[in-house]
Amino acid sequence: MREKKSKNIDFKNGAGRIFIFSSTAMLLLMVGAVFLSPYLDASLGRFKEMVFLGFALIIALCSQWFLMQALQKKPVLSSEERIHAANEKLRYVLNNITRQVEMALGAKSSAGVKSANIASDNSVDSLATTLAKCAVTLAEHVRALIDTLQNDSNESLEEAKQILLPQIEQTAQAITRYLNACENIDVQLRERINETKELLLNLQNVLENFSPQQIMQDSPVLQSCVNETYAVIDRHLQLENAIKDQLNVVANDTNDSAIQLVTLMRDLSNEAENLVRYITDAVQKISSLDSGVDDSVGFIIRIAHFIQDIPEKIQADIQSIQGVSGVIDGLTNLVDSIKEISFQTDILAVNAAIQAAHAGEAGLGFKIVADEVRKLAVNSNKAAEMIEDGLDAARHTIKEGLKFKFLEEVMAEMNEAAAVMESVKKLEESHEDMRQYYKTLFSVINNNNRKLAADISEILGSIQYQDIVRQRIERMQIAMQHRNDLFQLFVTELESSGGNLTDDFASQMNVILNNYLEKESHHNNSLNSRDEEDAPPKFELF
Amino acid sequence: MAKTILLVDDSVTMLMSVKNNLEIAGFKVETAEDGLKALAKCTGGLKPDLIITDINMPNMGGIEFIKKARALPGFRFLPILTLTTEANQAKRDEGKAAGATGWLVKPVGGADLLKIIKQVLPGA
Repeated sequence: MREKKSKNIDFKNGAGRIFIFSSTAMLLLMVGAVFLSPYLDASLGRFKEMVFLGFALIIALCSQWFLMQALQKKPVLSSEERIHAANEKLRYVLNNITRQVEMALGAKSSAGVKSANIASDNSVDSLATTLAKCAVTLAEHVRALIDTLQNDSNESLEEAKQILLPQIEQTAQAITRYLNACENIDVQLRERINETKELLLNLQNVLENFSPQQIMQDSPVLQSCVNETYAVIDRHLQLENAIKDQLNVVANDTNDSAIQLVTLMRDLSNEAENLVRYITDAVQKISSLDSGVDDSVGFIIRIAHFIQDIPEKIQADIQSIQGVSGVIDGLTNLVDSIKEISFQTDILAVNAAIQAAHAGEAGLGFKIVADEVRKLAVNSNKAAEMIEDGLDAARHTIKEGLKFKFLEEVMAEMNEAAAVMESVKKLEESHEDMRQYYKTLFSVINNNNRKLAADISEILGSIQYQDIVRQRIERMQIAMQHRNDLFQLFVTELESSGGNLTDDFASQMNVILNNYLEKESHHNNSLNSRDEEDAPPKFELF
Repeated sequence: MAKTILLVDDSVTMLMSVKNNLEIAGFKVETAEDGLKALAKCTGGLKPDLIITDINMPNMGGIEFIKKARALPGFRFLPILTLTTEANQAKRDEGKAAGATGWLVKPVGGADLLKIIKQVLPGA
């Protein structure tokens, strides 16, 4: 409805022309700003936005001025509500303009040259855009107002005069206030533009004479902060070097300890082997000793049996000797018989000699025989006595030899000798016990040695952790070295550029971290990693 | 006749511990500190029955050593085991492609090592 009415606007009307002119000018300005931006950047630099802002403001002001001229020439009545709404909208637009301008110019007082630049740039852009929008909005409102006035003029002029005259008056007052406000804004904008110009000039001078050292000299806090940062990084690098040295010491110490441990383990293993060898030799020696002991025991047993038989043999001998003694007694009787025969022969010889003497000469030969017989009898007697003496001596000797005490002693000694056999048997049993004991001892020591060898083997396997720790320390040292190099570069660049860093140190640090973590993930990390289910197997045959 | 094992590792600790373990088990052990020295021993007439090598070593790493050792006459079917801290699959595949027989991740206990050796050296 409203659009339809707007088509009926007489474009010859001044307000319409102003609207078209201002809109076209604003559009041209915006298009020019877009297309000529690179060239204007080169020629005007940071004043480009200010120039456009100025143009936009001038166009807006001109259009508003011409509009007011046109409206004054042809005042049209309007309803109170619409005027009020239009007033509100105008106030809103003005407030917007005022706020944007204040924002743009308020950035001057903010701390930090760079942030001020950015803020002011953004604010200027925003202000220019807002102003352009405000101008368009204002033009639309004005057009709506004109439409309304035009429509209302078709109604009864008299009624309209009655109703609308006070409203026209109010509208006129509102527009006057608006114009005053616009003038104020214009004045303030000019002042702010001048201030901004000065600020930009100062900024340009600062940028032209920009030197980090100067900034640091000008800013003691910044200087102290930077110095403190250098000092902290320097101490940090020193600490890192100290830690790196200590890590080296740890790696070397564990290496030495591991080597020593391996040597000791090897010695222990050798000692265990020697012990087993010694025990084995001992068992073999005991085995050879066994046969010797067996032989000795058999020999001793035979001797014991022999000794055991001796008393019986002696008894038999005694009995034999006693028999001899009886024979000797019998021989003594025989000697007595011989003595008697000899005596009788002697008597017979004496009688024969007497008879021979009686026979005279005839008996001379017989006398000789009788004498010889008598000599024979004497000799026989002498021989019998000699035999008797010999037999007495033999009997005495036998009697002395077969005394009872002597026999008892001999028998006791013989029994003692027989008891030796019991001792030998006990000795043999003890030897068997000892042999069993040695066998058990050998078995136990052998088992323990086997366990010891297995433990030593496992310990030698565990010593491999020293190599794992060493490699882990080496990877840490490499990562720390890269980080330190980056720190050094960071400090150097910070000193030379005065804070305007060109390299992205955070991402470089991230690369170092990721490299380190990736390398670590490729290695078997810890004792606990054995139990990780998703970890690749520790042993794999292809 | 004791079997001969060539042990290659840049860590003296590793060489000593594994060598002792294998010697206690009755093997004859030759050692080398890197792939280059090990290769020199192989070309110099050493004919081991088994090679156990580390992967990350100076001068010549384990992968390159395995590749070059496989090219030597008489080493084509020789069992070559790796003993390393490298545990990731990509490195394993690389070792497999180079000609390794098996992949062991440190640490390997004495008993486990002997079991594995018996698998690749049935007569040992």
